[in-house]
Amino acid sequence: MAMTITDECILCGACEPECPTESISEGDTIYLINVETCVECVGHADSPTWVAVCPVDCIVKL
Amino acid sequence: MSLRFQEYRPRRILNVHKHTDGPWFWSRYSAHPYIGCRSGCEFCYLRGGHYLGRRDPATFDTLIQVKLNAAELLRRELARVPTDVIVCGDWQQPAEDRYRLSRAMLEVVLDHGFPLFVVERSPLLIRDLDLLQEIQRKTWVGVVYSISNLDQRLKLAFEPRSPGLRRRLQAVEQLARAGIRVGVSLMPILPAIGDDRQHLEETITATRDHGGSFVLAGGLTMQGVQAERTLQALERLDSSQVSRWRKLYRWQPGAWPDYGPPRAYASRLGLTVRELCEQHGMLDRMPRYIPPGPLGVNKRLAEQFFLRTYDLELAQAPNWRIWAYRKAAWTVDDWPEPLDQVYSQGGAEALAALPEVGDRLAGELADCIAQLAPGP
Repeated sequence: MAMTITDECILCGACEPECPTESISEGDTIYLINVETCVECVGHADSPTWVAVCPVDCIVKL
Repeated sequence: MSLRFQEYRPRRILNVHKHTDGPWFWSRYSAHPYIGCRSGCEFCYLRGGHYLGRRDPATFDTLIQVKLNAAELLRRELARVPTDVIVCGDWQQPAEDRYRLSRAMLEVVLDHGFPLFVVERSPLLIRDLDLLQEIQRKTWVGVVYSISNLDQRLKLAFEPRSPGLRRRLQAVEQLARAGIRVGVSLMPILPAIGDDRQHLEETITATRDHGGSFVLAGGLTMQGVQAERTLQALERLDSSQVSRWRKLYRWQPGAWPDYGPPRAYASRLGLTVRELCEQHGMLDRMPRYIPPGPLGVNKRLAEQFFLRTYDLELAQAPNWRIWAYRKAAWTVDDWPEPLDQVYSQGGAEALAALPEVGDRLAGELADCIAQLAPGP
C-alpha cells in the first residue's frame, strides 16, 4: 500500500503538512513519499488527503 | 489541466538590451530556455501581452515550450557581444529537472566569463550552486529570489502552484552561506491586502535572517488576461477589496486598467520599504557588478546616476528630471573612455560636452568622480 509523487511535482509543499503519518518529505527536486509508513490515509480519511491538495495532480498510486 | 512540453530549436536566444536596466537588475543581456511556467501565478507579468507574443495566455501554465538548443545558441551568441551582466536560466519545475538547460547555460556563461544575474522562484537553482560559485569566483553572481510576501493565505490565493515559501527562504540561506550575493524581490506587492507595514517587514526581516542583503520592491502591474485573472483571484479571496483595486488602477468595467498604480502610491510603498530596510540593516537596491579595468569608473558613476533616478521616483519628481539622469547614466555607462581621465584632462567642460549630460549634471559627475577617487 503506497502512493508516489511523480516528477511533475512543482515543489509547492502543499502536501507535506496534510499527510497524517508524516510520510512526505522534501527531496532535492521533488517531494518524496516514504512507502514504509504511507497508509494511503486509511483510518485517517476517506481518501488520501494530500491527493486533493496537490495543485498539479502529481500524486498517484504505485 | 495536463502538462505538455513542446520541444523546438529556435534560431536565436540572446536578447540584447539597448542599455543596462539600472537601478534594478543591472543586466545587459537575457536568455531563457523555456516559455511558459508550470507555477502559473495569477499575477505573473509574463502572462501579459507583450511578453507572450502570439502564444495563448490560457496555456501559459500547461504548455511549456523548451528551447532544446539553448546552450549551443548561447555559446555562439555570447562570443559575438561585449562582456556584461546576463540574466540567464529558469529553474522552474518540472521542466528544468527534465531538461537541465539552465545548468547547461550556466556552463556557457562560466566559459565566456560573463557576470550573471538570476531572478528565480524555484529552489531547484540550488542544485547548480557549484556552478554559481565558479562563476562568482571568475566574475560575479547576483541572485534575487522572488517572494511577494510570506502570507500563506495570499500565496494560496494568487500563486498556489509556485514553489513553497519556506523552500525559497532556505534557498536564499544556502546561497548566502555559499558566499553568493542574494536578495529578495518583493514583487508584486499586492495593494490593500499585502502592502501594509506588517507584510513588508515580515518579508524584509526574513530575508535578512536568511542571509539576504537587499530587497527590491515593486508594485503589481496589470495587463490583459493577467489583469483579469489577478482580479478574479482577489474576488475569490476577498471580494470587498475588488472596488479598491479598480479605483487604484482606474479600471472601469468593460475597459482596461492602468498598467501600474498611481505614482503617489508607488512612491509611498518604496519609501516605506526604504525605511524598513534602514531599520533592519538592509539595502533597497542591489549593488551592481563593476568590471575590472579602467572603464569600471564609468560603471560606478552611472550607478550613482541610476540610483538618483530611483530616489527621484520616490520623491515624485517631474518625469523630465528623472529622464535627465537616466539618459546621462546611459551615456556614462557606455562611454568608451574612463571619465575620471576625461575630467582630469578636460575638466567639467569636457564632461558637459558628453551627449545628454550638460553643465549641471557635469558638475554632479565631477563631484562623484572626486568622491570615488579623492585626490592627493
